[in-house]
Amino acid sequence: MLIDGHPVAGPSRKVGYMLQQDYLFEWRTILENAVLGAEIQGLDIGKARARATALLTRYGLGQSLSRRPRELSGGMRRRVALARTLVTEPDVVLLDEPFSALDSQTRLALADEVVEILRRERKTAILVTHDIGEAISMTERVVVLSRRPGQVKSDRAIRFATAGGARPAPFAARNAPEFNGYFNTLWQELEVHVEG
Amino acid sequence: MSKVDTLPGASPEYRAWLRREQRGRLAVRGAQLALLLLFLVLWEALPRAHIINPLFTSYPSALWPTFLSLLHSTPQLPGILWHAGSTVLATIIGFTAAMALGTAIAAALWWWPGLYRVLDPYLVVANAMPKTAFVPIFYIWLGATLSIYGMSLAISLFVTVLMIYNGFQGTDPNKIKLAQTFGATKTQILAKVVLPGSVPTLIAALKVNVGLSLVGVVVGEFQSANLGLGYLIQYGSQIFQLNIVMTAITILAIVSSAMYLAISLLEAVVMRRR
Repeated sequence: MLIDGHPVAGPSRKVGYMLQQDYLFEWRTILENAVLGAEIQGLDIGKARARATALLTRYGLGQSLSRRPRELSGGMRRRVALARTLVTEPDVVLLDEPFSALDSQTRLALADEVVEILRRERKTAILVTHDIGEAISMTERVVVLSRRPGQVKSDRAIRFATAGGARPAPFAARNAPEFNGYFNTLWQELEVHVEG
Repeated sequence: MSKVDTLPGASPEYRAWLRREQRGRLAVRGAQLALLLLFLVLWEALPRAHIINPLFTSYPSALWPTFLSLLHSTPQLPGILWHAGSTVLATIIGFTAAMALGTAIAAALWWWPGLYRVLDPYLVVANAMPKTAFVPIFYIWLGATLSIYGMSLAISLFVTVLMIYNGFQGTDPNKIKLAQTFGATKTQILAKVVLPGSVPTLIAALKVNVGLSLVGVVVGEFQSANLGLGYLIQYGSQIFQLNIVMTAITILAIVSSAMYLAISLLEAVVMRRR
């Protein structure tokens, strides 16, 4: 894969990762957790703290900056993890099944929020998921990979006909008329076999 | 009026449950106190009734007068607080050295997994060895004072290394992976993930070490010192003054409890911040 014409071989400052779980450090406060990446990359800590504070406040965590991760709910912890990723200002955000550890309600609500945040920050995001609905509702393009060895099986743009041409929020997208069509096509391409 | 009665808005069932809990706690404390009293009464009564020979056991009531009489230094024997202070100081030096050196060695083993694989059997054997067997040798090698610190360190070092290394190994690999996604170096992983994540292990090691270091100091003092509670115990038994021995042992019990308590307090402070 190329970013700005350069191949990505390992961890890069241009790529921000969001892993399956938040892995917040229980010995750090929320704010300290959010600036971890900036600290590791040797960025200006004062600026990082200001940016983290702004992001966390926007996500409704302004009152919780000095709290510890164990005092937060799963959804709040995910938001801190997202802030931690965005504080380092990566060009591309890689979301590796970011909601798999959450309950389904938090999952739907957070999908809306994350899409809105990423769009406002104008970040390119790559979402790895096993959830077909999540893939359709959150993205503009879906690439299906085959089983090992992972080959690109299909590459499909996702379009919704909405007033004004703006893409609907993920939750609204699930109710769009196009949703089921995409769902069925992708389902067939995945060739899901239930063992036994 | 107890705290239970002042709780506003608590249901009668909840109050009753709280009261039962409170009674349970009181009963345990009461039983603990009764056990201590029983021990002291038996220790006082049995020698007095000449059921056991008082020459061998002394009495609890003799402890305080003995303590007072030992307070003042004589040309032959320093005052008892000097002995206690010397033992406490040596213990603190011993476990501080064991913690510092143990953490450094554990970090080296974490850094070079090959080193750990080579040293593993030696560490296990060194940990299982009765270190007190080396007391006479340490005395020859290190002299009177240093041999006490040396024994204190030797007795607590290996278990510290093993405990802390295990703590380091127990670091959640996903937390390390997360640091690596930001491009963390090995030094950063150690400083920002492994070490702070192992603070509970460090405190557990500290708790073990306080006891072990004290053992090392007292055993070292048996051999080589002319100061310290270990020396006082040796001295008292040689002149067959069990009053002195028992007083010194009682002070040892108080000292070790106090140090353990201090570390528990430290633990409470550190853990509240997590």
